[in-house]
Amino acid sequence: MKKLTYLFALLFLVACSDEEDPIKKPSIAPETEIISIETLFDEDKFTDAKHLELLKELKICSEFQKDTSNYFEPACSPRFFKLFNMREDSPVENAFLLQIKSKVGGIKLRRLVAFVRERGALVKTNTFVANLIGLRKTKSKHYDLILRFNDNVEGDIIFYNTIFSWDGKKYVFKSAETIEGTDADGPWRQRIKAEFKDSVSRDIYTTLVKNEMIL
Amino acid sequence: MKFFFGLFTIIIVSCSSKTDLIPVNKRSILTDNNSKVWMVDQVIIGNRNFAPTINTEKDVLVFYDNGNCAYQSMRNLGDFPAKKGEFSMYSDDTTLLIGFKNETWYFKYQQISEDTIALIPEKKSALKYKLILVPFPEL
Repeated sequence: MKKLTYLFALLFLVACSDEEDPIKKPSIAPETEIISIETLFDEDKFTDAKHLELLKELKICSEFQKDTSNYFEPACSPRFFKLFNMREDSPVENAFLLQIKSKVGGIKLRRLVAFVRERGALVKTNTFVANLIGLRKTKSKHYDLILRFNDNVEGDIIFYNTIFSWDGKKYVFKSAETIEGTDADGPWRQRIKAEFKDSVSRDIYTTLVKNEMIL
Repeated sequence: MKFFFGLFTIIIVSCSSKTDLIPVNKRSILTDNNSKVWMVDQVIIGNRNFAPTINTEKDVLVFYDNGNCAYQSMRNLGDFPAKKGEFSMYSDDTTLLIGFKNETWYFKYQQISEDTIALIPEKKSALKYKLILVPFPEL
């Protein structure tokens, strides 16, 4: 009888406990290490000999060109190109990011192209008309990209600092973090507040696609 | 002739009212004396509007008559808790203050009507964006 009473009491308690969890709590990403990048294209020698070999493999430059003022037939030089590892744990020849200087090939803005090696051949996964300003370490060892895009709003230049993450096949837009510009009072910088990030990021992504900054 | 002048004077004087004007309670525009859902139609940063063009991707701001308010992205409604705070509105100096747990947004309202509220951030505000609110539309 006593056991039965305990059983009923237990059943009653279990029945009354609320297992519903209708509202999820927003997950907050832990602080992750960010590697800041500033590419000046002011060096004459690649930091890694593999970089030159990769450029030759891509046939993106002329290994015979010596004139570093020729932007239409660019030399395979760090004056025009800079390579970055795409993964923390993989050699550069298997996955890399290629930053191309503005004006190369007649394109006025900097471009960043992502390549991965598949079955021995280099495959382009993404092209951004953007400047790489940082890499963020991730658990997957694939760096997140911090890219800076330009926009022209009624003659005023505005910059969007954005984050792209690797989804297993290519980089995908994650969020816009800051907006920068200049007005009559001078330069300004606005960090996008958390509660606006969803809607404002969506609008910025739409603009980037419309302006063909993400190809 | 004098009679007409006298009559006009009486008419004019009778038309003037010494009754004090009752100021419009703008707070009720915000809450509709109950609760009112406003859609954040424009988010102006610099000179550009960064609100999405599609209404279902915009944010909403709800003002309750008890002085509470809630800010949330429409896409996250029901999935994530809203950012909740309290608001105060001062008709005399056209100021709207929204206080959240960790920060306060200070606005001057540039325009306020049942159809549109234009909020300009003050220098001391934690939020620096200009917001244009419209009543929640039929989707």
